[in-house]
Amino acid sequence: MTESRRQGALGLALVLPPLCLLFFLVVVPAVTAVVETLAPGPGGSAGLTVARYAEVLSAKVIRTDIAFSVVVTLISVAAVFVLGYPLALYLRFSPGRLASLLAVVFTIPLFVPVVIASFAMITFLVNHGLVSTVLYRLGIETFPPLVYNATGIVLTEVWASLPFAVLILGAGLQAIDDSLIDSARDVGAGRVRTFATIILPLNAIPTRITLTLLFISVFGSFTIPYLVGGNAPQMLGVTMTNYLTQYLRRTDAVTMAVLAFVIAAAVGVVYVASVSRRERDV
Amino acid sequence: MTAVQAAAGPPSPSWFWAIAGMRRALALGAFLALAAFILGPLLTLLVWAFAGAWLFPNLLPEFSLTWWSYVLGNADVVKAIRMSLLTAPVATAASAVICIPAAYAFARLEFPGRRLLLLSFLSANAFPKIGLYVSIATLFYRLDLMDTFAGVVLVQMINTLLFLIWIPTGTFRGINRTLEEAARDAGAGPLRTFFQITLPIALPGLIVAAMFAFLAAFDDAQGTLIVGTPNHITMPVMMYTLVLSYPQPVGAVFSVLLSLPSLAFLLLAQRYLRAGYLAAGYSL
Amino acid sequence: MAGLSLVRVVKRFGTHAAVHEVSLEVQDGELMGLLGPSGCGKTTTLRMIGGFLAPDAGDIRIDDRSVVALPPERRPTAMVFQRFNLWPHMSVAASIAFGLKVRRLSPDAIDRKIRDVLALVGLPGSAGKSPHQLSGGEQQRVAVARALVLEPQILLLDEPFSNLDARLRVHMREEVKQLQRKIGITTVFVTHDQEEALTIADRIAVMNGGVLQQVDTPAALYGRPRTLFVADFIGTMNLFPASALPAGEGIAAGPWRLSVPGARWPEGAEVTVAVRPEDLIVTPDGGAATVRRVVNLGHYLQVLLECPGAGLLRMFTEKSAPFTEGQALRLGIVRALAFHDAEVVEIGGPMRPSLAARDRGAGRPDAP
Repeated sequence: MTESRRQGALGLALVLPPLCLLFFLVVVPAVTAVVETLAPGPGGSAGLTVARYAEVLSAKVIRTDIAFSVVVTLISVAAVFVLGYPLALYLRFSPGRLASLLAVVFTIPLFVPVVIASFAMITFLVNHGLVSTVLYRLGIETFPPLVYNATGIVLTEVWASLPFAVLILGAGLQAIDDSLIDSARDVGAGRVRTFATIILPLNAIPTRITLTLLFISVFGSFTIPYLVGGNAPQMLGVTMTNYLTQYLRRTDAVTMAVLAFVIAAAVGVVYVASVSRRERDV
Repeated sequence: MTAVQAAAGPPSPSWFWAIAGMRRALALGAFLALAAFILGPLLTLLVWAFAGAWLFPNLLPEFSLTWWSYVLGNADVVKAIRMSLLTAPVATAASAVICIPAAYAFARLEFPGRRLLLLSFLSANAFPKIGLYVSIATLFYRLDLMDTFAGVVLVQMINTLLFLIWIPTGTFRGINRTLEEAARDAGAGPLRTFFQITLPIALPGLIVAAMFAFLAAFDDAQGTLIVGTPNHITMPVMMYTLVLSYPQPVGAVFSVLLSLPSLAFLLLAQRYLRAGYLAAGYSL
Repeated sequence: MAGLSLVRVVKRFGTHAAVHEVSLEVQDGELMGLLGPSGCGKTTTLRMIGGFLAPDAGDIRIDDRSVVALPPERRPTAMVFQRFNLWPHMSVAASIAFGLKVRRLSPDAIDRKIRDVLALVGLPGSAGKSPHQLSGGEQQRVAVARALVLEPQILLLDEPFSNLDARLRVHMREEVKQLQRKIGITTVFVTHDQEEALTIADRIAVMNGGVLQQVDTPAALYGRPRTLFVADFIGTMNLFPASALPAGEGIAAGPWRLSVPGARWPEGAEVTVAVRPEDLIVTPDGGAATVRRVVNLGHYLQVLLECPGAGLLRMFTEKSAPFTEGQALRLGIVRALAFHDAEVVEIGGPMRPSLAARDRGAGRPDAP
C-alpha cells in the first residue's frame, strides 16, 4: 500500500513541472481571455457582458473575415483530405521503389518552416514566377492570379499540411491487418467495396483525428494567410494579429481569439473524444 | 531496440492497386504531379538564392552570389541568427529537462489520473494557435514578459511539449521492464539504473523527440512575432520583414540559412527517421 | 549459502489476491520448483522474493534475516528473467561487469571473474560479443552468468527457457541442474511446465489460484497428491465421481465398490476417485468397460475405455497388449485415491467389482 502510494506521489511530482507549464501557457491565457472579454469595462455594471462580442461582430469587415476563414479552412481541409487519403492508401498498399521515393518526397514539407513554405510558394506562383513562366512557354498567357488571394492560401495550406495528414492516416492504415483485407477479397469484394466497407470504417478514428486537427491548424494559421493572402478579406488570424500589434486594440484582438476558440471548440471536442477512445483501445 | 523493430510492417497486399496496365502510368503521372507541387516551390526558392536577376520569361536567372554577402553583412540578420541560436536551444533544453522525467513517469509509474494527464498535453493542439498566442500576449503584458528573452523562450516551449512528452513516453514504454529490473537485481539503485540502462537504450527515441522539439522552437514564427517584437527578432520572424519589403533573392538566401538546421537534422537522424520514429511521433 | 523462508506471504492486486498466505521453506542448496498454471501466483511469489514486488502481509527471510524492507539491489538474490533480459547496448563482458562495478571491484578482479563465470556457463571467448550476436540459448547462458557472477545466496529463475525451442530447452535445463549441483546454490525455479519441474527440482511447490497446494518431492507429488488440483495437474489422472455407502461399506464408484480404510463419511457424501492410467488393469472380476480408442504412444499404449458410471478412462499398458476398438472387457483398479472435501484417503490393492455393477452389465454382450 505504502509502496504504491509512494510511486503515485513520485509520478505526480515528475509530471507536475510540464503540467504547470502547460497550465500556464494554455489554460491560464485561455481562461484569462474569456474572463477579460466578458467582464464589464470601467464604469460598467456588475456581472458579465457580451457587449464586446456584439461590438466586434457588428463590424462587417470582421464578419466577412470570419466567414472567409471558415470557407478557406473547409476548402483546404477537403483538398488535403482528397489528396492525402489516396496517397496514404498508395503508401500502405503498394510496396515498390516509386512508393518509397514518394514516402521521402511527401515528408519534405514537414521539415520546412511555414515562413519559408509561404515565401517559396509566392516565388513559385507569383505573376512572372516559375509557374507563369512555364505556362507562358506552353503558350498560356492569361490565367487567374494564383497568389495573394484565397487560391494561394489554399495551395500553401495544402502544401504544408499534406505530410501531417498522410502520416496520421497512414499510421491508422498500417494498423489494419492484411488478413482483414484479404478475407474481404476472398469473399469477392471489389476494390471500391473493400475500401468502403473495410478500410474506411476501420480507419475511422484516425480519419476523424486528421480532419479535426487539420481544421484547427488551418483555422488558427497566421503566417500563410499573412504572407500569401490578399488584403481583404483576410483570415481571422491575420485580422486579430493586426488588431493586437498594428491597431493596438488588445481587447478586440482577444475577443476575436475567443471567437476562434469557440468555433474550434466544437471541432476540438470531436478530436479529444477520438484520441481518448484510441488510447483506451491501445 | 523495440521501437525500431515495431516500424517494420508486414508485406502489403499490392492487389489493391493492381489496375492492370494503367497502373504504372497512372502512378507515375500522379507521382510527377505531386513531386512538382512539393518540390517546385522549394526549387524556385533555391534558384532565387543564387540569382543575381531573374527576368520574365527566362527559365533560368543569371547566377550570382552577391545577395549572400548582402544578407550576411546585414547587422539585423546577424542579430536574428544569434537570437534564434539562443532561444531555440534554451527552449528545447528547458523543455527536455522537465518533460523527459515526466515521460518516464507516464511510461513506468502508476499514479492517479495518468491517462488523462497524458492526454492533456494534446490540449495546445485543440486551440487555434494564433488565438492562443494572442491570449498569451495579453497575459504576458500583465506579467511584463512581452519582448523579453524569457517570454520568447516560454512561447517557443509550447510547441515542444507534445514532442518531448509523447515520443519519450512511447520510447520508455517500449523498453522491457525486466532490463531495468535486472540492473536493480545486480545491485544498482534506481538512479544508476535510469542513467546507465534506461537512458542509453532510450537515447535514439529521445534524440528524435529533441530534434522535433528543436525544429518546432526554432521554426516558430507566429508566437515569437507576437511576444518578441520589436527587440527579440528570431530568424523566422525576420523572414516576415524580408518577404514583405526586400527583393526576392534576399528572402531566398535567408530561407536557405533558416533551413540549415532542419537539413542537418534530417541528414543526421536519417537512420532513426527511417526506423519509423517519424510515424510514431505523428500517430498521436 | 543460505536457506529461504516465506511466512504467510500475501499479495493483492486491487481486491484480487494474487498470492494468499503462502508459507514455504527452501533448504540450503535445494532446487525448489514453483509450478502451476499461468496466473497461479508463482511469478508474483518469485518477484516478491527478488524484491520487485512488496508483499502486503507476511515475511520473507533469507538466512533467518527478514529482507522484506530491502529493495532488489540490497537483497542477496539474483534473478534470471524470462526474455529480452540482456542489455542491448552492452557487450557480454560489460553486462557481467555491471554488477561488479556497482560493488567497486578492481578491474583485475572483474576481468578474472568474467573469465571464470563465462567458462562456468560454457561460453569462453564470447566476452566481446553483443547480445544480438548470440543465439537464444547463449543469451540465457549469459543471463545466468550475469546472475551468478555476483555470488548471490539465492538464485531465482523465472521460466528462463520458455522462449527456447523444445530440444534446446531440455538441454539447457539439464545444464542448469548440473551447474546448480556443482556450486550448490539455493535456487527457486518458476515454471508452468511440469515435466521441467519434475525432472530437475529437488522439491516442487504447486500453486493454484494464489494458494500453495502442496510442497513435496516429484515422486511424492505424483504418487500422493494431497489435493484434487495436484492430482489432476500432475501427470495424467482419471477422475470420476463416487458416493459414500452406509458406514463401513466404502464407496460406490462406477461399477466398483471400493472400501476406504479409516474414512467416516456420511452415507451419500460426494467423493471423487482418482486413478492413474497405469493403475488400471484388465481382470476377470473387474467392472464392465468397452474399448473406444487405442493410441500407440511409442513405447506404450494408451487405451481409452468407456466405463458405465465412470465415463471415459485412460489406461496405459505395454505395447504388446492385444486391444481392438469396440472390444468389451473387465477393468480392475490397483490403486486409487479418494477425495472428499479437504480429506484424501489412499486405497491400495486390487478391487472387487460391486454386485450392482455386475447386474447392470449383465444385459450387455460382455464377451464374444
